[in-house]
Amino acid sequence: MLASNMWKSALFLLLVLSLHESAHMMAAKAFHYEVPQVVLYPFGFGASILHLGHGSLWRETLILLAGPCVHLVVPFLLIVLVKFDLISITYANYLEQLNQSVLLFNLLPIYPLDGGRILLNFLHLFLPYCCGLWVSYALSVSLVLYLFHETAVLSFQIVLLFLLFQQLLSCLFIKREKEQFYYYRYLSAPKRIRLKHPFQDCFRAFYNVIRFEKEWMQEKAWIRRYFEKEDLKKRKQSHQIML
Amino acid sequence: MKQGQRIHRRIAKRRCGRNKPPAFYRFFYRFSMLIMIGLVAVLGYGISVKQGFVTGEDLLAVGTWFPFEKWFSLQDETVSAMPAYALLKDHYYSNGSNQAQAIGDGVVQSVEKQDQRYVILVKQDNGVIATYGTLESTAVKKDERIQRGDVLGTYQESLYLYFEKDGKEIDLTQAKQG
Repeated sequence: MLASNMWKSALFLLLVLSLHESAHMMAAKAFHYEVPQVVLYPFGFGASILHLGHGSLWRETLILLAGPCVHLVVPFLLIVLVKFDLISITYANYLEQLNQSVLLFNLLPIYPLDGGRILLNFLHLFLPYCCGLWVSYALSVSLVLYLFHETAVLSFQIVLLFLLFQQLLSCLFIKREKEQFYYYRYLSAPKRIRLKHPFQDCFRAFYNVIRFEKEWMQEKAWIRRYFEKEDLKKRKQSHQIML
Repeated sequence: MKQGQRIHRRIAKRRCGRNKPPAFYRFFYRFSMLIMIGLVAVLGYGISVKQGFVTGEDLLAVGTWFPFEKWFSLQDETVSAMPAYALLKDHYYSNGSNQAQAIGDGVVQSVEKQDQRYVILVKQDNGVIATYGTLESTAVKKDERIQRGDVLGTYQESLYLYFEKDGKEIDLTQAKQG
């Protein structure tokens, strides 16, 4: 299948993907986001950044754009390699095509990829947290299914299946994602524009004042109330089981 | 009482996870697991080739497995021109210009120099080994991937072409199709 003399192309792909991920990691560290580990997928790497969907919209978009920017620098690296006579010009063109493909693939608006997260950040400008998640997941899944139907390339289809599997898993864990977001908001003190609204959810871009049972609650108080209700529910459930 | 305390301590340790082995041992363990899985996969593939379940290297074109190659091709297949070679003498062809173009996707196996002329061997995705001889200059290097229509080098007057599949010689039309 993969001939042993494809090592140059495989090495190039590995190099480009690790440059991409290290750009993400460096941007994350510059904005003081924690990066606990780098995950290895079959088709590349992924730097897991803590609280990536929870903090400032603007900073996170910059972190997410840092990755694709590396791909704009790669053609210059290829020219340098050609000048040093390490690869030929036709091969440099081929590698540039690979680079462009990786860039386009990353900018697709599908959830685990960079493009999907940028779309999610955009949606969070005007939608509450859960609503934004649902809309972006729905768009991602429909786009993946559409691409799966349209393409004839087998490896692309396998990768799309893998992405679909990841998205379905994320749909199952939306509640946990929401709670992580509320933990983050409770601990951080955002100085943002105040937004009064009746929705039982937080807007990421504003400081929320939420209408709850005919009174206006500040964000922190509302989150504490949310977790207290959750605790009460769990205790009631465990009491029922014991009885 | 002591027994109970010991048991409680053991349970507490397991729960906290503070008794994890050092990072190097964990890395070595995962690395060796990966190696074992890889060996099983390679062994399984080797056995199926030996048994004849799959036919070795011309199972599928490499391009269908290698990621990103034709995922976002903005041009159609027909636009990347199939070079037209006209037969002059036996094994000597010409395509109207002095640039030798590849007739199929593949990987360059070797670039050799014989009597001040270059000979390029290309292993195509369809299993054909194509030899491009009597080249005056080369534009590719060993182990590089080429697509159909890529310029491999320049030649004067005529280009030597020889195609082989499974040890037997085949002609140009068969080599183009596979």
